[in-house]
Amino acid sequence: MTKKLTTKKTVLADQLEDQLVKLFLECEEEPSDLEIDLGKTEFIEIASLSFLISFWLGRQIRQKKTSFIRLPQKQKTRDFLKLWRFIEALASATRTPEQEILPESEKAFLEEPITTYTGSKTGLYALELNNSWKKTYSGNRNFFEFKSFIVDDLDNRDLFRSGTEALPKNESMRWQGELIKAVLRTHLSGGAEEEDEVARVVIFESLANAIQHPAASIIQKTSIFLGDTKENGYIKEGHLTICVWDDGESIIDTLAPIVRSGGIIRAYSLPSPMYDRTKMIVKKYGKTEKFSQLIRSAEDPAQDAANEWILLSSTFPGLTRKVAKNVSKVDKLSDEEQQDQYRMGFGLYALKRTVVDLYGGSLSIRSKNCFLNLTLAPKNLKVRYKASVMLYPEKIYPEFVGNLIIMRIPIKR
Amino acid sequence: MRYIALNIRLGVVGDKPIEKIRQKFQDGIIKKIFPEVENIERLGEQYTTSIPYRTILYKPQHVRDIIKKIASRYSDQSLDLILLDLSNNDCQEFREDVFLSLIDGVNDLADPEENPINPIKIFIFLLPLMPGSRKRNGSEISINSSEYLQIKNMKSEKNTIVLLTNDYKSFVYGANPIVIPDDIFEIYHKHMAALKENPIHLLCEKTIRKLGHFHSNKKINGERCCRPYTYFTYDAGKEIGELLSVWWSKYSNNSEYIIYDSNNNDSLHEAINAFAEIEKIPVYYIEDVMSDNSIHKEVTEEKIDKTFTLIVDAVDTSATVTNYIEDLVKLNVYPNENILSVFAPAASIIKEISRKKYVIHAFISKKHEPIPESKCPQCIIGLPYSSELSEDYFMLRAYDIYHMIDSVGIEPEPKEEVPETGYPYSYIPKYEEMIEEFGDWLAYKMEYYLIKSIGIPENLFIIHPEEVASKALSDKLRFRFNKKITTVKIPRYQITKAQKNNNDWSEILIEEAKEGWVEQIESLIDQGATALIIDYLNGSGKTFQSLQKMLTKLEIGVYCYFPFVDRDPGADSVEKYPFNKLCLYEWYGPRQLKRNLSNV
Repeated sequence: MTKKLTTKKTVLADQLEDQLVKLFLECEEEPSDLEIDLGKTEFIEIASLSFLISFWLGRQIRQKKTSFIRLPQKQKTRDFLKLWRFIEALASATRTPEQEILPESEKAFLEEPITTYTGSKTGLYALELNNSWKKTYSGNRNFFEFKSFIVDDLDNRDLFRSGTEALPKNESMRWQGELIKAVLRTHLSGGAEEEDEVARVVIFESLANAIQHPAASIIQKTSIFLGDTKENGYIKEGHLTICVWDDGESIIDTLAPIVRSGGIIRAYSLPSPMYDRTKMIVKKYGKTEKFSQLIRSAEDPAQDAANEWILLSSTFPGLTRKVAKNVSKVDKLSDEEQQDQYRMGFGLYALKRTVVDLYGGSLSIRSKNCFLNLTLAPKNLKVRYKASVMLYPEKIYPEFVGNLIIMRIPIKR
Repeated sequence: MRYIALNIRLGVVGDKPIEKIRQKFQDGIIKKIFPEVENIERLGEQYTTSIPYRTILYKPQHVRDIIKKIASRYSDQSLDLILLDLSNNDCQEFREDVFLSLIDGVNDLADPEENPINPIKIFIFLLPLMPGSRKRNGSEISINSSEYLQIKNMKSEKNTIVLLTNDYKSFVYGANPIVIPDDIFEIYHKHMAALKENPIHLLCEKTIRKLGHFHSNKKINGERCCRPYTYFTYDAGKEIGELLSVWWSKYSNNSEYIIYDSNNNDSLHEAINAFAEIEKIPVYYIEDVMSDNSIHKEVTEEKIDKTFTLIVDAVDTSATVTNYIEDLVKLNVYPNENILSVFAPAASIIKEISRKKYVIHAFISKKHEPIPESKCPQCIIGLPYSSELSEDYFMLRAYDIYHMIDSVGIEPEPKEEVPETGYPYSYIPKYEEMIEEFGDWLAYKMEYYLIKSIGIPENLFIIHPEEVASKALSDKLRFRFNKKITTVKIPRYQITKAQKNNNDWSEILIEEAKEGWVEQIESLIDQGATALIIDYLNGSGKTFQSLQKMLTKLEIGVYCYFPFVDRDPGADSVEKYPFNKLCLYEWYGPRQLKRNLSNV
């Protein structure tokens, strides 16, 4: 069965997923052949590109065919895809040559010159397009472009190569460069000179989390600064968005077996100010009613806790999995050490504290059939965080492949 | 009062001696906080405590054990205070987990149940500049980092925590109301000033003179020229930015925008755009201005009557700068009379362009020594041109090594550096001078070769015989790692002693247990460290074999053997060197070995 999906003028991750779910439910099964027409699209949210890569890979694993009919026709949008190296990222994740991803009519895309970005005038533009970049440089032409990191093959690891384990450190150092720091300082809504937290916590912890997901073979990171946009007459606040996706086992699946068996996933007992309350509001796809629940981060999820609670608990302080199998790059650690390394879990907690509390942004996680969006709660809820959850259908519509963490940090007006 | 100071280095393997200047600084801090205490005694701890990156990433909770292990050495002594000096690290190396584990370790030491004989009452933390700490003047360093929340909620009835940050803020939590004198930061300030390196010196250190066969814009008597060198900076955005900021305040003449060319210098691109971003000055790439795109239109239509400053990466003959100014003047835009270049043949050059006098200022003056093609030895023997932007080869060209030898000369091999097992070479190049003069590039090439061929692990340290040329090489190589790598120097006489004993190091390691190099090497044992063995010259592999035997005995991995020049690249090389072996130049001519010792 061949189906066609025509994307809208504006493509946002949740709207794109909504279109896909509808299409799948209409068919009552997953189409064997899906053709995507991006021709009319003028704006694509960066997170929707990471989502599309995971979606495409999932279909490839299930031996379903996905193809493009057209890329966006608007030059600025084409240049955006090219400058952010989206096709290369898709090719890396699916291990498919770039030329095979492009339809016949779009084969010239990769050679087209970029005309709507100049790299001149401001630091941000210079980051998006480094004019002095040469193919021989080891650095990136666009600081924010999709970067794909192949996770070391577990069976053929070279003890002496730094490989995947160096990723959090190296990327964090890249975000400590003079130019990106200057741009963060002038754009972020956090206090003056707090730009260091982006590298120290946001970049480091999101990647440290990704490299330890079992069975991950690729990690992709991309980011973008987006100014205020007008949507339906309203001004939507601009953000720095950073997306980290891996194709490993979902966070829910790594934690759930321990929770279900009554295992301990809390490593630490911490001072009470480190615990907070979250109002979780859950909506099932296609239903209008919402269910809300008050969750204390001091409490471990119950044995029969729903998946979304388990996912939310990954952001609690001191909570982590103890699964000691199949985690990338743990060379030279003894069995005892391998056990130890899962006792602490402050990575996603620190990420939440920085993105949500410090910068007033949002932390979203797409995993399995859940989409979780965590923000500071409005005062009337009388809790610290609000977690909005969308549960996608578990039948017909396939599970998300891997984990996608989307961090949105507001930028100054 | 008795105290110990723990000098914690994050993200490295292997300990190193604590510098005298740092010990003095720490003693000064303690005296300042406790002026009424007459007898303050500092105990032990002559070496830093390293916490490897792998520990930070995978098992940060072990930091707690590391702290406890060190303190346990003093469990039989009355200890009043522990100073934890973390100020020598970058804030980026502080994962929150690490901080929490540190605090847990400290809590344990203060807890009479955990540490019944000698619970410690006072802890002083010296911290680097932490994000968010700079702007706050209130009672907290940061309300956002969980580590500080944890500090605030420590078992404060049992101990006292003093935090001093290197942005001159102090905080006291806990049982004793210790008063921090206002002038304590005079000591901190002096110490920081003593450590701060001048940006121009740092820029010079990050400037690499690369040998090769390069085009020159210069013509002598109408003939095209070549250059045997080119210069480039590496990872110097910060230094160029600091210098640019000072230069701009003196020479910008109220320029309202910048036009720049940074063809070969990514650091300059980074520095200019960062500076302009902070100062809110528009900055345009010269190619955009000269093209027919929107930037050209913007500059020619909106910037008329506004002065701009031209910044370029390098000036050789001034021909390119002259062309730029002439072309820009034709667009009716107004150049500042001061032009900036990172490199130029002189610190300032006066140049008349389109009947106006311009001054080209340079941060670093370097002459390119152009040679007419007819006299260029490399042209004469038909060598291809080299790339300015990348390394054409991993190893040196034969021309490069002979050029360097020609520059520094030759000498009989120093007898004290000849292994007991072999005869000296009659003559060798003056390697020490060679490394002093060309070492920046040689180290850059070594790093490049490692990265591109076998990769560089996170848990690396350098080990080499304690000889002048090898030390010069390791000093240059350390700079490639921003000085954040441990180097262990093994005395030649100890290597000889081990060689005479069939490379059995057991006795030596016991006898010399209190020697610095043994303490250093032993600190690496449990850290999953891997060794990069370097030397300026490999004649027979005997030195390598001896060092490798020692490391193997201590169960420390060998990652690579990298002599600068390898005289022993023979057919049996693979068997003789069971690890990665790289070099910058292979020059067949193994050292002649003494018969009775040749099997050692």
